[in-house]
Amino acid sequence: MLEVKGLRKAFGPLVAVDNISFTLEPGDIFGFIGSNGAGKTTTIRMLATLLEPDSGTAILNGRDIRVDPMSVRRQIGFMPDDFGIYDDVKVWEYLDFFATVYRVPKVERQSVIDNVLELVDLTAKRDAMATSLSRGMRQRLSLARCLVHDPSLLLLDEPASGLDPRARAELKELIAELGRMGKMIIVSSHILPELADFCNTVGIIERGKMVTHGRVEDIVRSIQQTRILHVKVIEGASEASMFLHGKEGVAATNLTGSTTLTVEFVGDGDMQADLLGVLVSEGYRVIEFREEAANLEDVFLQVTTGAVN
Amino acid sequence: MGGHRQVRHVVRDLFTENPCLPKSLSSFSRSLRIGTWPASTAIVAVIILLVYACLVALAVQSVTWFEPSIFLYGMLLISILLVAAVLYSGLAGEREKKSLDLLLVAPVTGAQIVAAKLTKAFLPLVASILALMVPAIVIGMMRIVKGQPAFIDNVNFPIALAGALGLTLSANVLVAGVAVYMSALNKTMSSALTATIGCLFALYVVIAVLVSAMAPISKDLVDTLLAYHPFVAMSSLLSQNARFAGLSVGFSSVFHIAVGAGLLWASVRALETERKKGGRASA
Ligand SMILES: Nc1ncnc2c1ncn2[C@@H]1O[C@H](COP(=O)(O)OP(=O)(O)OP(=O)(O)O)[C@@H](O)[C@H]1O
Ligand SMILES: [Mg+2]
Repeated sequence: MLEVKGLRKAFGPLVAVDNISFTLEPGDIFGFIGSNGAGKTTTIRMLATLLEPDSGTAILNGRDIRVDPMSVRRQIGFMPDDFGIYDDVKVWEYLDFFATVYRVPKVERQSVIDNVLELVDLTAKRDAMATSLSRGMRQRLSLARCLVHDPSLLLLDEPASGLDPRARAELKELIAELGRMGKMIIVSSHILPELADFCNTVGIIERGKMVTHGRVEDIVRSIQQTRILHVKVIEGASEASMFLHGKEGVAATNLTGSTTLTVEFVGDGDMQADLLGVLVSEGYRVIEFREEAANLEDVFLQVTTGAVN
Repeated sequence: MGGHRQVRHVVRDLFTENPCLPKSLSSFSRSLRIGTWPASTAIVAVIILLVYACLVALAVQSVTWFEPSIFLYGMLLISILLVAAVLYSGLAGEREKKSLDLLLVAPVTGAQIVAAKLTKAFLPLVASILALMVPAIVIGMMRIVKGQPAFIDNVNFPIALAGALGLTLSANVLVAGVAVYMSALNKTMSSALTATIGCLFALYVVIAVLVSAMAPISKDLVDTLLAYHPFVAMSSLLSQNARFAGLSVGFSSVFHIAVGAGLLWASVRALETERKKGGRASA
């Protein structure tokens, strides 16, 4: 479990990270979103014990990053936004070096290396020189390096930058898989939709402050006061529209076809269920009643002002 | 007893169980592959040495003035150049390639990282000492066999060899300290190289020339101020100035070891600070 408590870092007069707090449980994938210069990298580097916070701290599985950085380091896999790979080593030697550095016992090293290569799908490149890898492969090799010591927290700073759409999709799949393995993962990006489909929690940071954070659905709900419900009935859409008008939580209704309508709705899940209940009990044959997929991009634009440091 | 245990602990931490070491050693051996600059430099050096050895063989045959000291000066000079050349790039190179962060987030201490970098210089140092000490010994022995003193100045042969070795080793502690510290402070290999050469040049050439310029004022003062200089110490060791030789070699060694150790310690501190301050080029 990771508890981040009031992290703060200033560079001279510029407060890069201001009082950031959040908590992660095993299996949580935390999407850390913010525009350029918002403070994502600074936060991640503090968590990685590469930068000392001015105040605040974080506790990883009971260890304080400021009190006991060495044992925190053993539990962290860090993928910086900009990293280099030694130019004189083969892929497996590169991983072997980091396995040694992280004190993976010698007898286990070979199998650990084979496993992580398999996981990131680089088995075929085992004996290739690390520098001969393509950008996407390097990114995956870097992820493999983060995994050799089986860390409980992964800090991935813009892991998808510079990848083509296909490589991006593969990387997302891989990160989701790691989440299922019970790791806590923090992934930063400035593009929210990129994270939306595999993160279960997100935090939006702007000018060093966490504007909002929590479960993806909760955030969308709290921000998007009005939700759009798509309703489809077998017949009588216009009567249904009339009927729903003025019911609790319904702000407006719109007829979109002979059998479909949309409802602008303000309220929680219970109220939404009640609304469906009355609609059905009134005799309407409802075949679809769904909330419009949360548009995270809109949410992001709504909570941030576009101000940068 | 406790001190002994502590020393063992430090040795284990920094050398026998330092996880960063194997990479340093293997990357050094890889750098000897043909096509890399250390390999080409080594090949050129070997050719020069061979030519040199032929000349030496001729000289030994014909001239009685040829004695081992030139090899001992050579050992000092070449080992310094090699150690500096191997070490200046260590940390600055990691920084330039953006791989240093990966070491700093790993559970290794700054001292372990520095120790791993230092071991890269161990082999070249030993090689340069062997390559020049052996001919010095051979020539000295040949002269003794021929009934001449090993050195023209009739210096005790074993003492001269031991003194030269001590001077070389201690000088290289300082050179290693300078190179590693400059490497710890600089962001690119080229600036680390410039800084390393600059420091060594200032220490061994600029100061020496400036101090020598004071000779008209006081010869003794110049001798005293130059006592730190390993070449000055070497020359008093290999001449008959026996009393001054002991002082000079002793002072020079202590000076070099103390300053070198201080710089290595400062390098470790610089790394640890970098870990706290974030290390990125500040905006
Ligand atoms: N070492 C430093 N010295 C001074 N200022 C810094 C330093 N590192 C970061 N900053 C400043 O702190 C702010 C936050 O930077 P940070 O790199 O954390 O942003 P980010 O969210 O990662 O941005 P990006 O999306 O561009 O990667 C920026 O204004 C940056 O200029
Ligand atoms: Mg960043």
